[in-house]
Amino acid sequence: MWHITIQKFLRLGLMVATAGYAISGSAHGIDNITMDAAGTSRTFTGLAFITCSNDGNGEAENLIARIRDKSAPVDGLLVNLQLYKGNKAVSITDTVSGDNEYSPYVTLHGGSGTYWMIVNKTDAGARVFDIEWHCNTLTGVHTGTDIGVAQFE
Amino acid sequence: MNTKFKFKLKFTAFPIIALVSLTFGQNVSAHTGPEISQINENTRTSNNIVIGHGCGDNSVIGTSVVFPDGVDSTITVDGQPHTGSLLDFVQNWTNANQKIYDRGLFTYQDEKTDSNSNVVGFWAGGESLPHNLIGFVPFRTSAVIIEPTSCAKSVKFHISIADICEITDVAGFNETTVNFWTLSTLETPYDADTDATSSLTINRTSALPSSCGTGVAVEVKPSAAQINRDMPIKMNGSQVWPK
Repeated sequence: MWHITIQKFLRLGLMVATAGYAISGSAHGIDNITMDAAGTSRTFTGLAFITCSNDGNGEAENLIARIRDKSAPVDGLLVNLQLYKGNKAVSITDTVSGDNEYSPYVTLHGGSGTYWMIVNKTDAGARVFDIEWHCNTLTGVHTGTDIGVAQFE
Repeated sequence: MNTKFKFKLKFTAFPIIALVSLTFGQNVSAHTGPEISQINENTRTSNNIVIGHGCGDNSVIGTSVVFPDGVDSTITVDGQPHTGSLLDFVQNWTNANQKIYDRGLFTYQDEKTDSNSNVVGFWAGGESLPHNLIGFVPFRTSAVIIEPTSCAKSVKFHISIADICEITDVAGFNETTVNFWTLSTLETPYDADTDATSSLTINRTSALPSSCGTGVAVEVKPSAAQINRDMPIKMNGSQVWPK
């Protein structure tokens, strides 16, 4: 019975896109996320925490991240990314929208533990964006990286 | 386990073999729950939900697992209610658990997520686990960090699980169709007769602040709203269980 029911739903499900609209928890990058889909919010903010831990590759020394605005350019409308942990913070803006190029990576040397990542924008308007994030050891080896989303609104 | 079953047991003549199985085949040690129930903070851990037995003589064909999301969960500190946030004690519980893809037991599986795509549980199903054998459903817990400024020496998360032996609607829940390893007092259709949740405890390894003494034990239980929302199994938005 279960088997039949599942197969039925799987067939139906093939027609449905499975990509979530918010930040996926298992990858270290996300693509084609839409911030402020309605295009009406000047205050839209995404907030996530990233846990840097030793997954066997070594203790984390830093978190790096970058952002890419894939929407067409609009005067005065840019996307930003900020990282902070404890009393340290760093930020970056993708200053050229829609050119398919990421911003440079920013690095926050906060050691292991929980970092916060914020994405926002400078004005009302929908923005489709990608971000990447990775926890690294002092020698640049990728190590334990996990994410949870606290807010996307 | 299930209230409806109690009534049924009173008024229905069960085959002797089924009664023997229910009496002697189910015990505390066979409760479904995580293989590793205690882990240190800041340590990523691979684990399994261990399914202990079927529904009487009926085999388990699927399982639904829900972790408290920490949003509207009930939090206690040394048994006393805590009105603050889970963030007072844990930095990063949200999205801490991920299903590990595995078809060794069940063919179909997926994660359950909240509105921000954070994983709050998972399900697996599609094959039949013989009722006399145990089954493993693998998952991974990321490195959970206890808030270092807190006095928490441990944080225990109660896990709610339904082992499904037959896909029914809510009215069809009974001892032969589903085993509930859940809380008993939430007043949801998924309540067990007595508290039967399993748990995953995060143990602190960092030093307690000097003012904390020996520290406090924190417990986190899911809300009724979360269980009602997250216990059903859905695929692409369509509910598979309960019918």
